[in-house]
Amino acid sequence: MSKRVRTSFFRIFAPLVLPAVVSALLSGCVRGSEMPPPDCMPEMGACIQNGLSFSISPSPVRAMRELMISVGLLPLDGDMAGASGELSVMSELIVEFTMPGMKMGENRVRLKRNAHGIYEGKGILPRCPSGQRLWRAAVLAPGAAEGPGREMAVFLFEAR
Amino acid sequence: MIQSLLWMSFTAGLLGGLGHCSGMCGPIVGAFSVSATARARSPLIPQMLYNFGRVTTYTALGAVFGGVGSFVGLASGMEWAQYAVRVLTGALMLLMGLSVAGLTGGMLNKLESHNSLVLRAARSVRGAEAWRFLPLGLMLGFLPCGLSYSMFMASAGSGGAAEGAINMLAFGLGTVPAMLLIGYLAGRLGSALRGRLYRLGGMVVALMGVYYIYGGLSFYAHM
Repeated sequence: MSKRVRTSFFRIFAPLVLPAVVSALLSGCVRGSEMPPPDCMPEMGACIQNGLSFSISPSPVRAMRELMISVGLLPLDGDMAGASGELSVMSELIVEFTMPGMKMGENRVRLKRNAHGIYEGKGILPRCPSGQRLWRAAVLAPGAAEGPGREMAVFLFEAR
Repeated sequence: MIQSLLWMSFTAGLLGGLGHCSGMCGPIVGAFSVSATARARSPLIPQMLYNFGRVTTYTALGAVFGGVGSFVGLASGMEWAQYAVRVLTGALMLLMGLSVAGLTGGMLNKLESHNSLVLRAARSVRGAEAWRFLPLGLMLGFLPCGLSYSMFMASAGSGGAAEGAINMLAFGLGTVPAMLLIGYLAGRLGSALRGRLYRLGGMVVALMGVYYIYGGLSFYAHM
């Protein structure tokens, strides 16, 4: 291949190939590994798992806004079973927010039990500049304040 | 602020720097380091100036958040400026990358003869002198980052300006090893690349610039 052809090839082909390669790499970086689909839509009402109800207001859930996070205990088969039974004696709960595939720092919200038996607390979800919107909320077992904590229920939802 | 919280902030920066920051900001640091062959006694000097500027911005912002005592109100207003910095950073990377790739001809010099505010800002961070990495670091400390938002939230709840500043200083210092390493390696790579490879590197930098501009403009489009 002559030098002239090689130079032309470089000048014409490289600007076409490079965007495709880099975009593919960057989109892989942005999305990370396969993301699970959200299983909770707070704007549709409370989400329920393992005897716990989880809700966020105001709706729709937006990043960089103060949010009210609520967790309620649901009796199963007329009795407090599962996570409900275990947590029903606690005056506080911790909900830990993480973003799958992206380190966003520690974000734990402490919920206090109100007069109606609902655990409530205020929290904030930081915005991810990569555009990722999927969040993971894990309701942690008692004693979680001192350490990683056992996850009683996990909810995947999107924040705008 | 108790020592354990400072240690947690430092650790968050250290671990975040190795993972999160390397992926999100590493391309920016690498791009500037590859494109600008700094004339310094040591290749580490530009990187240390850059990180000094960046950590200074973090510390100042930590003081502001700690003093105000609220994350949401301040952060919402600051986001607009932060994403503007992201767009500007992307534009700088695009210009530098095209220049390194030899695709701008005399256009860049003609542009820089104009005296608009943006181009004056660009001139202050573009160039081969090591000192330019200091204003670059000060500016890039404003880049939007989910991890730093979490740390700003902690600063807002720290109880005061001094506490907030120290919290962010600890975090910023934790990120330095990773950023220093990336910048140093990228600078050495830039020096080692020759001819066509160097031009290809410029193209990659330009494309990263487009990515950052797109990300910044997407923020405004969705607001």
